[in-house]
Order: sequence, then C-alpha cells, then structure tokens
Amino acid sequence: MSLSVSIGSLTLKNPVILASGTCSPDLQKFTDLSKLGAVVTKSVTLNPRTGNPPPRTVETPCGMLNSIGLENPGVEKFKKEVLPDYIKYADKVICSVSGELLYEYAEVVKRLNDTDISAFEINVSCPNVERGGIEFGKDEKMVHQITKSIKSATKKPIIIKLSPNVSDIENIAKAAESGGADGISLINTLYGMAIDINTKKPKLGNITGGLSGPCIKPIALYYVYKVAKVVKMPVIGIGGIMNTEDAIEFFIAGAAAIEIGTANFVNPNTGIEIVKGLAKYNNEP
Amino acid sequence: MIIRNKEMAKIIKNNKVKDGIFLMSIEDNGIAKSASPGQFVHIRVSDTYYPLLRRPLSIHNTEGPVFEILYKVIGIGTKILSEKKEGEKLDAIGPLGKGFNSQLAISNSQLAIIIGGGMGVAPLYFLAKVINSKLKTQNSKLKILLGAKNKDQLIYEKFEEFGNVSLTTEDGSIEYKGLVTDLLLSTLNSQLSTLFACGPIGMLRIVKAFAIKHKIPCEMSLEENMCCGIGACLSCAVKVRTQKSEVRSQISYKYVCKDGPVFKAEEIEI
Repeated sequence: MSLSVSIGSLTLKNPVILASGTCSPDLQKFTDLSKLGAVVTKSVTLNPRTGNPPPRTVETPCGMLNSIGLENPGVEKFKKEVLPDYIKYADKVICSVSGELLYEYAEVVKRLNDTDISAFEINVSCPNVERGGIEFGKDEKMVHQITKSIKSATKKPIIIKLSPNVSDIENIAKAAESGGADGISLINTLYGMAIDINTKKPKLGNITGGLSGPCIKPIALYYVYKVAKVVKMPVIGIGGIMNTEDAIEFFIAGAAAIEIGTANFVNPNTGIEIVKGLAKYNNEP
Repeated sequence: MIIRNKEMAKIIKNNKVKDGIFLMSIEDNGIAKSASPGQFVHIRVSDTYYPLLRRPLSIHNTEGPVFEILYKVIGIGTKILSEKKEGEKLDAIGPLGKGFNSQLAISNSQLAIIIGGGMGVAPLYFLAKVINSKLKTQNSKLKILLGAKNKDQLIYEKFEEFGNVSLTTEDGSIEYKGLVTDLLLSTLNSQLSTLFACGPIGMLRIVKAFAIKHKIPCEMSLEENMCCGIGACLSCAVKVRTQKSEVRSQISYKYVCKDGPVFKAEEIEI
C-alpha cells in the first residue's frame, strides 16, 4: 500500500514531514532527508532577523520552551546560501514564510517562485516575535486576507500553519480554506514560560516562549480532530510526535500527513523510523 | 561524525571522583579515535520523555577506543547519568563542535597557559595532554591554572603529570586562596603566547579582558542551553559583534554547538 499523499498539486511519497525550525540541512549528516515526504525550512522573512537574546530554549517536563525569534538571513540570502542545500538533500522542500507586515508574506513568496520549492507553509502562528507571526493568525478575517494575497502571488500550493493560542481555531481554519489554502498544518507551539526560583527571573531571554514536545500531543490531537471535521483540505498534524504510534493517532484523528519537530533534537532519525513504522502498520492485516 | 545508538557505546566505568563529581569511561572506537580537545558528545541519558533532551558533555580524555566525560551532578540529567552502571549501553552522538587549536600553543617558543574554573576543567585535561605531547619536541612551555570553590571540588591530580600546575580555591583549602583569574593577572604577560580557558562566565570575562589588553591569542570554551547539538535549532546562540566600519558594529549570533564550543575571545560578546 502506498504511503503517498497529496496537498493541492503537491504529491509527497510519504506523509512524514520535518517541521520548520527543527531540521536545517545539517541533519543530513545524521539521517537521510531524501527518504522523507518533505522537509519544511526554517521560517524566512523579507529582511534578515537577528533573533532573540539567549537563553533561547529551556527544557520542561516532557517538553521544551523555545524563543528563537525567527532568526533568518532574509529571503535573498536564504535563496542563495541556504535553500540550495535543502533542495540538494530533501525530496520535497516546503518553505516556511513569515513576516512583520502583511505585504511581506506575498513579497517573500514572489521572490521564491522561481526556485525548486514545492510548496509554502505560511507561519501565522509564531508566538515569539513582537510584530507579525501569531498576530495575523488570531483573527479569521486576517487569515482569510493573508491566504488570498499569497494565493494570488504564487501557483505553488500553500499551507497555513495555525496556532493553538486562539479562541476559535475551526473558524480560522475555514477562513484559510475559503481564502484558497491547499492545506492546513497545526499546531504551532503553545504560549509558555519557566522561572528560575533562585534568581526569580524567567529562564528564557525573551521571558516567554512556545511549548513543544510530547507534553503537547493530547492538545495537538484535539485540535487536529476538531479542524479535520470542518475543512475539506488536507490537515497536517503537528505536536509532540515522537514515534510511529503517535503519528498513527494523528492519522486516526483526521490528519493526512504529519510533521515532526522536537523529536528531531532527541533522535535526528525519528522521521525515517516513522516512515518505516507506518509502512509496517499499513501492511498488517 | 559518528552516531552511536544505545546498542553501541558501552560504559566501562562510572566512578565518583570528588564531591558530586563523576568520571565516566565509555568505549566507542569511532568517537574516541576521531575526537579532538574541546569537542563534545551529545548524550541521551534516558529513553523516557523526562528528561527529554540530550545532554552535551565535553570530552575529558581519550585512551584508545575509550573516551571519558567528567561531570558534576546538577540536575535530573546528570543524576540519571551518575546512576548508570558499568556494562550499560549509552546513546551518544559525537564528536561534535569545533575544539581548541592546540597548534597555537606550539607555534612559538613561549608560554601557553591553560586556565580552568570549576567544572571548566572538563575539556582541559584532553587539551593539556595533546599540547604536552607536542611540546616535548619544542621549546615552548605549558602552565596550568586551576581553581574551584574548595578542594573537594577541585579536579587537579591528573594535571600534575604535565608539570607546572598552580591551584586556587575560594576558601583557601588548597594552595592559593582566591580566584583562578588572580593567578592569571599576576603572570608576566610578556612571556605569554596563548591562553586556553574554560569556566564560569565571570571567569571568562576576566580572561577575555586580560587577553585583549595584552594582545594574547585566546580561545575559550562556552556553554549555552542546547537542544539539537548540530546547528539546526539555533538555541545555543552566542552574541558576536561584526565591525561594519570604525563607528558602526552589528550584532549577530554564532552557535555553541556548531561554530563552537571553542571561540576566539575577541569574536564573542560575553
């Protein structure tokens, strides 16, 4: 039985994708990125971003907080210096796009139209930046508008990545669909923080961050289940997937594909192990 | 770069050497043979989700197919590590990162200093050993300055085979009372060729200021919260200042896991 899956005009050979911010081309030394359905790049913005002050991550029970702050070299340098390695190693590259201002999303996409990127994932859900990011993803009208503006800027499929830090995720997902999205991915990290009781100061340089890892899996599964019921487009499940069993739970909840994030830090070969696990599960009577 | 899953690397010894400080010997030919001083291994201490992330630990020494890590029990990860027994298998990735340039110590016939504070001694034994073996054919000299809170926390015994070792403790329980940087500041800087440092951030700031003031090449090993260990997540950021012109400089970041853990003192903002 084939593991292939389609998101708009994009067909992936299997439904296992590595999530944005967790899988630079450096991972190729530890795994074989070409065996995965796709790899999502670190988010790219129009202008370079320095990122947040350290400490940028802290471990929490069964998870971690991060506040990297969308550090990236900006679209032009990304295109010349970073993207070629992703293209070289991965079977399909999905480019994560973010912006501080609304127009920046479409502008980044336009500048990447002439590359071998297979699809765009629109990050309207980063909790760690002052402007843009999640601010665009909280409001259904804004999500509709941003989806429409990007759709008119590219022929490549677009996936909207949603935040769980919203009051009505189902309507936001529907707004993305009516705006022309080809797929939807969820969830991005949850707002969180950790405090050092000796210094009485936050453990993260940016004070707050986004929570990820196995501790968020039940929440992610819940949102995937809710959203998959109200949209027709493929749903990509993300949140705390560490192994094949976790991935299968997401498929049963309604996901068409899954993304692996934090697990890449623990075992860079998690994606391939899940691809093998899914093939085995599918072949069992 | 060698990936060893839990079936491969084998714990040979895991002994308490000082108050709360352990030395673990791990047999892994691939890691041991390709390691250089200043590099680290990324160890998964448990198969469970708490603790979730790997722990980066400096390579303390190598002997044939065996490498050693020297660590202090601080949190849940090092506690679990300290309870591991001889014969158990370990999931370790390494050697990772960019280490010390030991060649700096022997490229001229002056004095190289290795300075370590607290658990900062961890990567320095391997460095001292490599430099010492190369110095035998040179006129250069090596001096080692080590400091800790008290004698129960000071790892120094094995360094004495390299000759010139001076010790400090904050409580005066062994040799000089004070900070290890006090010894550095009283050294005649005109004889110095190179400085290698690892220790608490306060110590490194003093070493950096000294090195820059006297224009001495200086390399230091840094720590920062780390996740992937391979340059993917951008967690372990260290501020660097790029001079755009005489009046303008720009802040950017380098990464302890990939660009470091060893950096040139002048390139980092600490």
